Amino acid sequence: MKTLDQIFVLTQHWLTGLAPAALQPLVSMLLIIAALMAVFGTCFALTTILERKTLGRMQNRYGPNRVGPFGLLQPAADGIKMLTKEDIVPEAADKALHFLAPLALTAPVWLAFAVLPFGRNMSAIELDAGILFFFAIGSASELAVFMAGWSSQNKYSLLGAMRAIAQMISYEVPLVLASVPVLMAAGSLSLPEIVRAQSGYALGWIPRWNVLTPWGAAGFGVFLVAAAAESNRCPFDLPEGESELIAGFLTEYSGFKYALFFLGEYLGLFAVTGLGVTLFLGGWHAPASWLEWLPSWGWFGAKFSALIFLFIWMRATLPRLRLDQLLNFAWKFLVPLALIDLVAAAAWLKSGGWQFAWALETRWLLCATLLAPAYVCLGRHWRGGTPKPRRYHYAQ
Amino acid sequence: MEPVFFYIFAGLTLLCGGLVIANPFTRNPVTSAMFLFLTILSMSGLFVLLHAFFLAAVQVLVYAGAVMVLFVFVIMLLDLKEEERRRMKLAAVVLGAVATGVIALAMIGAMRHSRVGLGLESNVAEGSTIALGKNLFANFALPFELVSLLLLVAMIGAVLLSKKDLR
Amino acid sequence: MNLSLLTLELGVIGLALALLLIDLWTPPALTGRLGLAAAIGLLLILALSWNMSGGPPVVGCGGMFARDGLALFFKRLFLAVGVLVVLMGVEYRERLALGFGEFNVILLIALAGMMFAASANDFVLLFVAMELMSVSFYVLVSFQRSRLPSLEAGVKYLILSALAAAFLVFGIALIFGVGNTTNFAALNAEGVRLAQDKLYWLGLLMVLLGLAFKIAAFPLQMWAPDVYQGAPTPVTALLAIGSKAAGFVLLLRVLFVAAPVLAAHWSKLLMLASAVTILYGNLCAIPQRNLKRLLGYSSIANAGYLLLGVAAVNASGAAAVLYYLAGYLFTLAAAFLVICVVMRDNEDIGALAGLSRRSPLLAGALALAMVSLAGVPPLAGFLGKFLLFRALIERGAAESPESFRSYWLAGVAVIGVVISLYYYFAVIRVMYWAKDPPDLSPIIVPARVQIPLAVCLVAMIYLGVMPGAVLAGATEAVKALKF
Repeated sequence: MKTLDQIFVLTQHWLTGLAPAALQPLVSMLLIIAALMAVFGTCFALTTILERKTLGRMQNRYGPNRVGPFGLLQPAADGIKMLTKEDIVPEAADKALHFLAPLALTAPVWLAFAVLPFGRNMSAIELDAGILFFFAIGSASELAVFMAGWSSQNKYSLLGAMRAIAQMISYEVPLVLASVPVLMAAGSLSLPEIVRAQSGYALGWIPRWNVLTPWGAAGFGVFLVAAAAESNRCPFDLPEGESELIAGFLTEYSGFKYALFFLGEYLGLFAVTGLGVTLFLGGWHAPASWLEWLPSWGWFGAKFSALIFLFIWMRATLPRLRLDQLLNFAWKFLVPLALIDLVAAAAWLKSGGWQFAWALETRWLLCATLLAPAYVCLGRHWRGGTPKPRRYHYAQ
Repeated sequence: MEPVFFYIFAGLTLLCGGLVIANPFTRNPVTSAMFLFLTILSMSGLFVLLHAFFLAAVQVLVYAGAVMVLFVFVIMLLDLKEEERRRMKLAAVVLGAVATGVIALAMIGAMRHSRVGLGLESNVAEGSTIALGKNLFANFALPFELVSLLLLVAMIGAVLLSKKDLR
Repeated sequence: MNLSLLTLELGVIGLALALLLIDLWTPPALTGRLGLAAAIGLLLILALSWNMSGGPPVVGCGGMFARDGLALFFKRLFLAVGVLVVLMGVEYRERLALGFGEFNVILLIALAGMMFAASANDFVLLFVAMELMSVSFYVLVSFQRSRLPSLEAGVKYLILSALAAAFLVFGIALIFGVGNTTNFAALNAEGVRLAQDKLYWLGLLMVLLGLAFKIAAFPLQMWAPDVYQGAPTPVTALLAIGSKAAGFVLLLRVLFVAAPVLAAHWSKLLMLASAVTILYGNLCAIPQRNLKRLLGYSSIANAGYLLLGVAAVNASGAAAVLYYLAGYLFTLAAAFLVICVVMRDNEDIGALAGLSRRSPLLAGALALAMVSLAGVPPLAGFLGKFLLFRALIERGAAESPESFRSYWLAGVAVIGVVISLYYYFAVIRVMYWAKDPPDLSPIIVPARVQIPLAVCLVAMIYLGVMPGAVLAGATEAVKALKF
């Protein structure tokens, strides 16, 4: 079982050992990079087909079923189509930026995978400030969106980019704030360290995952919503709102560049999902001690797939928000809730030393009394009675 | 290896920084913003070389992720045609070059006889996040807390000066 | 962190935050009361500051924060300015057009920044305190956002202040690079070694440049007239008195606590800056027709006079600076109070025509303020200048007999004073002897202006006639400095 758990690590060591000594660090790095690209490239292809199939089923239709068995070769067909399509660059476009934008979106996202621990001993680099590195990388995508929107010299592109950036900077705040309690609990910014802090079981059977604490549950909720918004997933996909903006900042892109944007967005989703698994769902830890014989990367993969499926489900279920609702929701609901969650987490950690009977239950009650009224009040306040029609300052 | 990277990053920082303020090819603010982004990235590279990963990440997160994006947002909201038509003024270029030259000369002159860096080795460990945090919350707690007041003022000010309707 | 050290500052910050919250539930008609409450709160804190006097100097909060005589002297100064400016704000309320509650809050936070500056014993706290002031002033200066001059002033202040802050922070970085610390006391302990390093000199020079902006001294004095003219009058008053005083206390601390070894070397440089500032301020003030703009140039000239005391590099010089600032406070506060009441939309000096008949009290107060600024005995301004000149002459006597630098500088300063007589008296002439003034309707002065005005006038005369107590306090206060 040990071997199965460490099989990728061992393979990598063995392959590295084959190379001449001087080249070993380089080979080791290249191997990791190749593995990451292969795994998440495949993931991307599989997710597109899974998403279309699931959406189809949820909407009472089949989804793609023509190419290959059960339509499984659809991604390959899509890829070939994208590659062979003509690449159109608008006459007025800022050529350099227009060319660089898809690269600027996709390249940094790959870097984000470098710090995620996919299993025991399976993170590419163990950075002291890993989570900060992750968020720093994530912030590059906003610039890429701007480059795409601005360089196209098209008003739909520009509007889409403005929406996207407004949305991303707004939701980055709750995303980061929701992660802070986890850092407090783990006492470290390093992701492997955070996973290690979630090992073991409370009362012998409840895994010590952060999501199973009151503050962790609230934080996970905020994190999920913010993550969906950060990666422009439905119901927060209004930067690309087809019905009003054609395709937002993607309007003037075609062929391979368009595919790159899609790749970038999906990879961003994978990265932030992986982060969610690491921060709240115990990373690669098994949910019960008698399940620990399964390999750690398998558990990571299972949690990861479940979350991805949740995102697809959300897309099929929820209608798109309006921009003002979207921003209000971020600033007036998620951010305050995340801040209160911070206080609740502090109370939880501070009361960690309590020894008396019913200590755990008291702590739960304490944190819940901090969080629940806040949740109810903020929700009421945010809804604010009957919704008023939006006033368009410039259009009327 | 490290000196090579240092010269690459330092060179990039200076080059891109120069292109932000005085780009001979275009007066387009977006180009300037993009070069500013590159400047920030290469500066964070310098931080990495100093083993200050926390600062490097924060540099990118705050400056590239937040400040630059706000710049860019403003650029999107503005009409840039006029800005692009504006030529560089000779007087401004000369004055700027002279000012830069004076400061650079003063710096070089002072550096030549200086023993900078003596006794700084002990601080390298403070690049680590824990040491930084301890320093910030113990020795520098007062200025750190004051910064929160500063942010409050900035927030009130921003709301007051930009709010659409005032009662 | 020893919080009892920070009692006064915490009081001001607490007052500001309380006002911010109370303002939420206050109907607009009652916001004026809120201003009065703020003034009363500040008065209480001022009274509390006497409770804190005495005792040996204490350094706390990680060696950042010094509570000594110098800090306390300046804090009282700032609190007094605060009371006067908040009252001015109440008078100015209708013209602000928006958020009077927030106006007071930001004003109080700027005040807290100044008070922290007075106690700064570390370059980090110095920088944060300076930025606290600057950011507050960005908002305050452009507070009348529907008025173009106010916005223009705000933008000018923002850009130039950012430039100054860049110099400051670059200088601090260099100092830290050489000295491996930002603490004033630690830097002083290493003073002799550091003084051999030219990079340290450069760093300190850049810090001084950053401070020169705050006190509006050459070479960063350009902003003062425009900003003084455009800003709302109470803000101008706070800028002219509080911001300048904060700049000077920081200058004194940097020169005579952190780097007394270098201060003596830099006497020459400071003298040059002082001479140029005096001449620039006084000469440019002559053609001005706008009273606030004129006071802007006059403020530059006064920064020059105050620099005399710093350039003297002796205890009597520093004490003279403190004394001068105290006198300057009441003089300028009186002037701005009158401007606040009289000049509603026209700030031209011509608008003062016939003021002596419209309101003898206001005319008398402004005349007295101008006379004091011009340095005519027996008012505070005269004695302040006299003390500054005396300190400079002392310096000249202490130097080698061949060096006439100090005497030259004193000569320049006297020339400056003579020039200034012209434009100060022009203001008085318009008030009392203008030909056929257009408007002779009497001005009703409310009590909330009368009382502070009376306090200012009494203080101006008291400081001029009986300087003993304040001068003794100043002399005591500068014992915190090393020469």
